[in-house]
Amino acid sequence: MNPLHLLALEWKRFAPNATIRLVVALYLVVFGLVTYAARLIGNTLAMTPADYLFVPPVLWEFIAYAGSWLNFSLLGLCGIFLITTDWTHRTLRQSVIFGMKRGEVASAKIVSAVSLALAATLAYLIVCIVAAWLIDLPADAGRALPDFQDGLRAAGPFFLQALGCVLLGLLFGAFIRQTALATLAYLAYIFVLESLLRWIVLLTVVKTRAMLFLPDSLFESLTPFPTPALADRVGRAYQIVAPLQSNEVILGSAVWIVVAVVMIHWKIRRSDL
Amino acid sequence: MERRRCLQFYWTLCEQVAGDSRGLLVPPRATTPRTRIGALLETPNFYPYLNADQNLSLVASIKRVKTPDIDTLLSRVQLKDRRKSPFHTYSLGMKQRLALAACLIGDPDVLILDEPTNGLDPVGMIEVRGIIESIARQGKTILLASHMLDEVEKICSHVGILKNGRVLASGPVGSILSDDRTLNLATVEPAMEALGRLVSGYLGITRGTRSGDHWTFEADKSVDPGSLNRWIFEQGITLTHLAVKPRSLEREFLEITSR
Repeated sequence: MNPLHLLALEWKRFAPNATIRLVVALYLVVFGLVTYAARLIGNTLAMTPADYLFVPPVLWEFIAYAGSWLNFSLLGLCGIFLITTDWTHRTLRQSVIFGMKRGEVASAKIVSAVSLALAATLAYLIVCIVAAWLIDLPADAGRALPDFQDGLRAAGPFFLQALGCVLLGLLFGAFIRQTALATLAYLAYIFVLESLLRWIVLLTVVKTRAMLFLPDSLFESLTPFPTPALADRVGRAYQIVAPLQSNEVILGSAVWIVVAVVMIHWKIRRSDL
Repeated sequence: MERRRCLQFYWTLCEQVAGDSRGLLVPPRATTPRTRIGALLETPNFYPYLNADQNLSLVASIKRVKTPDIDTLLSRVQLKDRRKSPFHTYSLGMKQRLALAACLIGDPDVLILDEPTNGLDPVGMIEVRGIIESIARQGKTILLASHMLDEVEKICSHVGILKNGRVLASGPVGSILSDDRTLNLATVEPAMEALGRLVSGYLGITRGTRSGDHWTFEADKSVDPGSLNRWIFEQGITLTHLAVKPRSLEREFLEITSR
């Protein structure tokens, strides 16, 4: 089956799903609101950085950073629901009985993940453009049309991050199979476990950059907070790690994405559907 | 076990046909053999939040049927009135009927049904059985796996009896059922014991059991009920009840599997 047909099948399956609809709606609404709230806070406190953050090209990086929180939370959950819904209702098995091959079932999930990541990236670009055009900027910043080359440069890593998060969610869902457990495990890993592991092992045992190449660390690094001063201060305080270079981050993330795709395929093909 | 065996048979069949465009059961026009075979295995699994229309449309997409006649299919399985209700609101019988409709998408030549009336109430069983019979009347081949031999006897033309992976008997239902019959006899109470003793000695009667107010005897095809009745009367006993029943598939099954 071609990818578009697989995507059409997944659309028929999940477009009417209330949970998926809610998560996608939350993603869009919260993305817009967070950006707007950040601007309001900047205005209220008369913070220069807020103005600085909303002027291209920093705007692209800042909104990507804001969106990264939604990628890690909501897109990851979407990935979990995409597969655990099928496990729960045994509908993957039924799809195979109706004529799909196991490989096609697995590929359909990957195609969904790519589509969700593309949709998230499109939402990111729209939020950036709206923010650049509509938010009241200081007089000296002007109201220039955002440079789309900057935007595309920022959109690439954002897409990789979004894809990585959905695939990570899919991976947890594929192996754990139960929605609640997979959600807990995913959130714990993303927000607690890997950070603990990374820093405890990094600071006490490894003391090299190797621990920065874990998936969550790499995906986070795709959209760093755009205030280099803070990052420099942290780096100087520990004097342990040189931050990852952008090509290392992109290459490392791509490797983890390929690993996740292979594992999801393997799991679905080998499972008792 | 039977269910799993049926499933394995299904896969094997599909795999074999997939490698042979001149497949016996699937005509050459089939692109993907599995989509040319309708299968209802175990309980029907559909997306609970989708309604009948949406679920069937999804199945049609999986089977690559571009213009499925969902209206006709839903009418056929008597679900047209509930087509917009989510699947999770359906009774088990309705779910089973929707699964049958899904099997029929793409006009498959062969249907494989595993326990299609399992868990249904009597009304649901009759409805599903009626649908299966109407499908069979269209000339479709239906492979039905069931533990409910009464159902098999009612709707199947051919039967195969499996035990431990071996086919013990197969053929048209009529050929599996022997010509032996069951006779139910009764008389007034003081003569019941005498009736039992008397008939047990009659040529062609193999076994007799008393249950309540009547005797049940196994009789081979040489026993003529009229002659038997006359002979009993000549021995001084008048029957108040005589019924002849052909052997059921259930009894044949027990006999065949106990050999």
